[in-house]
Amino acid sequence: MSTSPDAPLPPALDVQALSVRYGRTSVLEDVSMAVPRGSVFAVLGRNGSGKTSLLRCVLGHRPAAAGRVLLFGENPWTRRTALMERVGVVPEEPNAPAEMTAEQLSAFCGRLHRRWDTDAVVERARRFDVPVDRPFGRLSKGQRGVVMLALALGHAPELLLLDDPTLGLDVVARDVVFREVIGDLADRGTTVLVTTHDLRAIEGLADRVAILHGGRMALVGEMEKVKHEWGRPLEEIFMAVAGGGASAPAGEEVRT
Amino acid sequence: MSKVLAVAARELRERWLLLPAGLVFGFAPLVLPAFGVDRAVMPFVGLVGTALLGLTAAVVVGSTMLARDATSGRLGFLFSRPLSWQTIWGGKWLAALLLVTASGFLAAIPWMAAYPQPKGGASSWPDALADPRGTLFFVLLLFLGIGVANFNATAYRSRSGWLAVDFVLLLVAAWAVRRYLGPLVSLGILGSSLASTWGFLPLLPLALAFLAASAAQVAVGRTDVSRAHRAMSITFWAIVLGTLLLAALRLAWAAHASPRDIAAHRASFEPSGRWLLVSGESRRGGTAAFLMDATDGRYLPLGIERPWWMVGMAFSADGTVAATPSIRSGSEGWVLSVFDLGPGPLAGRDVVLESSPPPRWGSMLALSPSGATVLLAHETGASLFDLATGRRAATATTTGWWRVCARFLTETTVRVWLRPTAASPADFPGARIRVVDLEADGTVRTKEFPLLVPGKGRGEWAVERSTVVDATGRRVLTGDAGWHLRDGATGSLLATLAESSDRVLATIAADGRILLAEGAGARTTLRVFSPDGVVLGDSLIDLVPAGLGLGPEVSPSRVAVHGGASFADGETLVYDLTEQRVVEALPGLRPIGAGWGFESSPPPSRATASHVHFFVGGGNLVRIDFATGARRVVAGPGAQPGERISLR
Repeated sequence: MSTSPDAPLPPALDVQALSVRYGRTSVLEDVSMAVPRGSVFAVLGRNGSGKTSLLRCVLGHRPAAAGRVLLFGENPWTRRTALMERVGVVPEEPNAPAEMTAEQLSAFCGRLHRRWDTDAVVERARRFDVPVDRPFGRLSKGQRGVVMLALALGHAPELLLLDDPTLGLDVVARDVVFREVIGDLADRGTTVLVTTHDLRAIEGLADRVAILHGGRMALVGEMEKVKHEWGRPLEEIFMAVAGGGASAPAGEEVRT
Repeated sequence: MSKVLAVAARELRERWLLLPAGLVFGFAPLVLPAFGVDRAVMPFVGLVGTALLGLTAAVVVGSTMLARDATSGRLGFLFSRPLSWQTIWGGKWLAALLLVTASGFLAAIPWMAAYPQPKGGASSWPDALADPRGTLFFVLLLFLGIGVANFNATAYRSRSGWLAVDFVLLLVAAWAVRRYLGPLVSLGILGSSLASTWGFLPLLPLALAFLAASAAQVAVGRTDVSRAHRAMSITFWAIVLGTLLLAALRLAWAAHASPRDIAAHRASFEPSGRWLLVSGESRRGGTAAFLMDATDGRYLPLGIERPWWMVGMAFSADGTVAATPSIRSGSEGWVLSVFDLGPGPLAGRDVVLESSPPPRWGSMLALSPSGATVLLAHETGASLFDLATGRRAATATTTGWWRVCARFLTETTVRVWLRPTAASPADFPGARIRVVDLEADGTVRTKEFPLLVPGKGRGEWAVERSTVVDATGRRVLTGDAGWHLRDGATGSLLATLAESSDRVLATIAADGRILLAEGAGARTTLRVFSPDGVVLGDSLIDLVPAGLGLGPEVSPSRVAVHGGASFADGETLVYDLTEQRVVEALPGLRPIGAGWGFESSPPPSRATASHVHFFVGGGNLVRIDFATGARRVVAGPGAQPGERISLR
């Protein structure tokens, strides 16, 4: 897809009527959302709500059964290789090769990306007290998450995808991830798409929020607007939408 | 390319322990002799160890490189980087090939160094490695080992419904290999040299299928192992079944050869020259055989499986019945395919012969003049069967290896002359002939008479060629230290026609006169004898100087004398026994035979002496009616297209 120099840049991520199926099982149905450049977008949902499937489509790991996904205006299923130069990923389960140390992993990734800052990767890992000379498989889960985050940022991506990045992190590390890393990236204009269960931490960081429920988009909109319309904190909104604990405000328009 | 190497290097780093493991295996044959194991078997132990190590390495690498990495999420790490699927797939395969090869070589080097084999020896490793066939075979095994392991691991880890599909298609493929690919190789349809020296090449599409399947697995399945399994299976089975479909089509194409497609090498026919069995190398590959009507070109394909090859086809002298082993023949015994050649559409039936050993080389089949009974002779005896029922009427057993060298059949009796062959036990006291008479009422009589000396060429074909029976069955010519006319029943010597049987051929015409041929080229001498062995005259003829042949009697008192090193440069002269001169020349043609040990046609008799014979030349089989002079090309590129018929 090409754009003229004067045309507005497409959103970092544009999802339109996306459906994903595993065999006959539908895990996402008619999901639409757009992530503007420079925003911090939180995707919330209970386990099995379809968050990871959404990210797999966004990353070009699987095609859409129906609908459309555009990453920087391009189809990630067909243009994945080029797009991954602009995207950093922290998966829910750290998946780097177990026998390699953080230093070796950084060197390995440095051979794969056009631009790569090995020093920054190692420095970021050290800031979280991760031994960079220890094989990845012998690190704690929290340390592995930190290494994955550092590796995701090594090529200064325009879009960072975080799939529950604080899972397994202690309170301090979790705070660092949210306040320092995500906050810092947002300040520098990096687009962040994050799925998390840590609603309180993300509430103050994300400027947009979406809630997936049962494979469908239950709510999507700007964070402040959503909170204002619902008149409740994010956690209560989430419970109302995804947990069935409270009713929606009268005349609510889910998409805001 | 650098990204491929980066991915490969990472894979190697993960599995580097395979390399020292290979080295440890390689030292085992060096250590084992200390524990009393015979040093002589160490190269074999080393070879087995290397093979096991290579197999283990292939399984380890193949089962983890994609399937495990997909289920553990490791593929996601690579797919989240700017790596194309080709880079990921190529890097992983490169590492796998390097690991298996390197570990195998490391396992081989110590014992190969300790037990060197001389270059040029029967099992020389340097020669084997330098041989392109050996190298290709090794590479194929490499790809197959890794590919099979990857396929199985992916199928196992996905546990999707495609596992059942794989299993069903595996059974289908196994059946198709046996049904289509096997005959292509074993029957030489892909080329006999291909089958003997490159017989493993059918593994090539299999290896390519595994390779392509793994590519589809990565390209389409990416990080989803179920989706990967589906893509892998579809690709793999498409290639495998597509290849087998091609094999089936190739086989069908070969099986649908017509007589126009063959270069005839063998033929046998009934005396009227209408029906014949013709076989030869087919332009469509392999060998094809047809039962055909030479008068109008109709033909019945006899299939690509070749039970007829061993014994040919027997015709009754009256031309109404033909018989050949059915493909149903096997270890249980003989099943005859019997053809009714009478008026009306060609009909066939199978007849199971009672208590008969299975057909094999050296078996002999002959029909009585009307086709009512059938003679079956083999290495342990001879039996007479009723052709309508397959019941055995009479049988004579022999010990040792005897081969029928002549036979004479009437409607109710059979006389066979047997000679011990080169395969006989050494305790045969000199050369002899055994005469066996079988009668339809079960009577069996056996006599033996000695020959003068064993004679030359006691091979099976030479035995057949050195005994000739006359049209009455009462006299035989034997080639034993000369050519001798003997009483057919007792072996009594009636006359000596030649003092040597070396390079002398003999035949008996239907009227009993005898013709001997000796020499070659312009010095070919023909000598005619009366039925009692009295010399009637000599002639010197000029013939192609190689491959002297005598017979058949193409018309009463006229015998074909032929020469030529091959069918391509053959020449036939028709010699008249009465006029004692050449009466006709057939340049470029030679009589076609039925093959070593087979008769082209039932023995001549005064009643059934034929005017029709078949000759080959220029790649064609030509039917010549010597009564009318009519010629017709019945097989080969010059033949008119004939109708393909089936049995009624």
